[in-house]
Amino acid sequence: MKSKLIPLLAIVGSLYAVQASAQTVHEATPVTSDSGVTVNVNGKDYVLVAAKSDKELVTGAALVDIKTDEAIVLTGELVVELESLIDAQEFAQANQLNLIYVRGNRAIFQADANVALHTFEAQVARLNGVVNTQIGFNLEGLEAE
Amino acid sequence: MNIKITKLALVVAASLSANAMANIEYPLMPGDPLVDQQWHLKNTGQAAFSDRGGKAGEDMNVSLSHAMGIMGTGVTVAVIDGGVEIKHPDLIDNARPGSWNFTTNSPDLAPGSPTDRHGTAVAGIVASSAFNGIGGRGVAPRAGLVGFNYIVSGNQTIANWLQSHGMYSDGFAKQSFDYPRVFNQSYGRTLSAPRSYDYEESPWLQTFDEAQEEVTRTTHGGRGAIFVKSAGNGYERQTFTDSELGRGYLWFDNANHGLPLQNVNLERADTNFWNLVASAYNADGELSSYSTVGSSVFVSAPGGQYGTSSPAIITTDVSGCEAGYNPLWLRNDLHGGHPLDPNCDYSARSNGTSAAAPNVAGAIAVIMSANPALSWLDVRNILATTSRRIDADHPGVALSFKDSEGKQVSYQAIDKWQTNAAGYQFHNFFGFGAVDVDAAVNLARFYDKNLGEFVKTDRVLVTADAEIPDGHLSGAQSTFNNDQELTVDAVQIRVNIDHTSTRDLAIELISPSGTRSVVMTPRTGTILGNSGMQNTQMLTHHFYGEQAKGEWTLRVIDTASEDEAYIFDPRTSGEPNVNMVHRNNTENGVLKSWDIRFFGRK
Repeated sequence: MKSKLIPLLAIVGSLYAVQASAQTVHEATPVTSDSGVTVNVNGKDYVLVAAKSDKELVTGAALVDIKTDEAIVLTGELVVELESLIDAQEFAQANQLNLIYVRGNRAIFQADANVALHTFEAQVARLNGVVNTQIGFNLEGLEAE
Repeated sequence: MNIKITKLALVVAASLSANAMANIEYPLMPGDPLVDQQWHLKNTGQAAFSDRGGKAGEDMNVSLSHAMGIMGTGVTVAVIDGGVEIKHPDLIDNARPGSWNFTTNSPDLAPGSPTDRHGTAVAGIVASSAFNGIGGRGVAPRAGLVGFNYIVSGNQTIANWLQSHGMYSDGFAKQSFDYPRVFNQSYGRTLSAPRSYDYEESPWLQTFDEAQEEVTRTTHGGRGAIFVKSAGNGYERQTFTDSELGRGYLWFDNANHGLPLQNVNLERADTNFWNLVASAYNADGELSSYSTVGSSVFVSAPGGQYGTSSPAIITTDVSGCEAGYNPLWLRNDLHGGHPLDPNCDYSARSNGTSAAAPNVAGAIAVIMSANPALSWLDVRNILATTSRRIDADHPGVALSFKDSEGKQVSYQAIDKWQTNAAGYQFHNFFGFGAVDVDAAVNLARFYDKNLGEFVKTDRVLVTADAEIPDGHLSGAQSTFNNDQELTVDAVQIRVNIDHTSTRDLAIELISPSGTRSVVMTPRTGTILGNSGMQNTQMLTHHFYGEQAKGEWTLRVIDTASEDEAYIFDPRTSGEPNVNMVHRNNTENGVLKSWDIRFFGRK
């Protein structure tokens, strides 16, 4: 955010009457890629603002969307679409994955706490029977209304 | 008020027309000590433990349905929220199998702390028991309840979202009697910039959309289910997080020209068609001061004000005088051990669109119980048909601004009540209006409409490349000629706009019949919206029942030619408010393209 000394009257002009005086006026600005390391999750660019590891994305890493300032936190989930004949339970067992949800051909595997999620995603995506993958996250800011 | 007590036989007599029934006032049946104060069920002008009462008749109108014993039997409502005290004495009788506590990973759902009160209040509005001699009652006091503490911090994972929104993990019998037909979501986000609605870059959107469509259309033997969602509480002020100042509120000293900071179409979930979005009205029969509004609002229901100077909603609370809403500042007269609530198990300060949504969820449960054969599409049609015009003389909101040529001009940003070409009344504040349970049940019981086959068309891309003059009513315009014949339920658009001040933009869609729907009101709180709109999605119900064939016109108008001042309130004690400035765009924006698709019937 930029702080500027701007004559307030000049800013609001005819919008509404205010006392002509010089006050500190701030301007909110979105996050830019200069604000931190840029990373790509599910094909979209984010700025990494807080992470347990400097090098890799792990569960709990906090990211911000460069374009909209939307904040997300990685949950450690990997959402996987499996080929229709694949049994998720058997698939998980055979590949030593922690299956936490399955319905039809959609399975969700939970990564261990400090596992690098991009590496984990790449490993799972290479397995036979995997159609596509997405790294799971929580969009921050959900509130009771 | 002229109150007539009429024998049930007379009430249900087939000879009574709907109009005749609508003109008769019925008392709420007694049996719960707080029910006389529950204005949202029967507004007699009672104060509801606040300083004053509201306007008689501004309520859910449930009396006749309850008198007829139509109270939600056989319908389970899922409360997706914080913790729910499912063992509360006024909820336990309606608890059904299926609740899940994601924090403890067990079916033992309960508040996680004495301040985890929201879910218990929401559940009580839906289905607290009737005629048991304690507390008040819900809109659907015989509906079943299950709960999920999804919105508790740490629980908001994709797996938990799926589990709580009807996509039970394999192994759960989804067609079981207790599988919810109604899902209540009294939660949402406040947006400071437009979001894109793009499956490529946000695959979770597709996951969620497909889940809600499947649950809506295929469960319960095809009769389906309905997701109800709160519109949000961002009309007058909104939460805002600044990287340096932290989290606080923002507002405008000029009340933002009377326009909403949060338009319901900013929240992606509210634009996806599968969520039936509810705004809130108060005991005076006017929009609650905080309620977010917009063209994707379907109906309105009581949310009240704050329960101090005017009524909020009376509902179940976390048990105990040191828990729930009791310790809140500015307690009202009910709190702290009132003779009607000696154990402090109820609150009179629940409010928000969080309260409006469960009123609607309860109403839907009652409608479904009146006629279990109704499909989700039928229920939507019943609500659109029977909801009543509230605050009938509301003039809408006109925005006056100095245009780029220095002239003072006016733009009608929110219309007064309009009647569309199919005869449906619509207002961006209230959707089709205030839910009227008795009218809806009356129609539901004898419902014989064949709405036709539900259709969701593909998106059609329209290239525009039209400049949006800064601060000028002329705007940018683009048209699309639709050759598909169908009856519209809702229209969904996505826009691609280059602009560095999206707050300035009004977006309107005009149907072949000439109905205008403002799908994005200008002067929203999109303070950070300097990257334009990329596939930003909006939904409108304004064209319900109209024919889709013909020319559709999209207009984008830039309504500001100057910088604007606003206030940031850091909210933390001792910190002064901060004067902020929002910069006008220095170049004209461009409407690059947009796409459109229809939800309707053939």
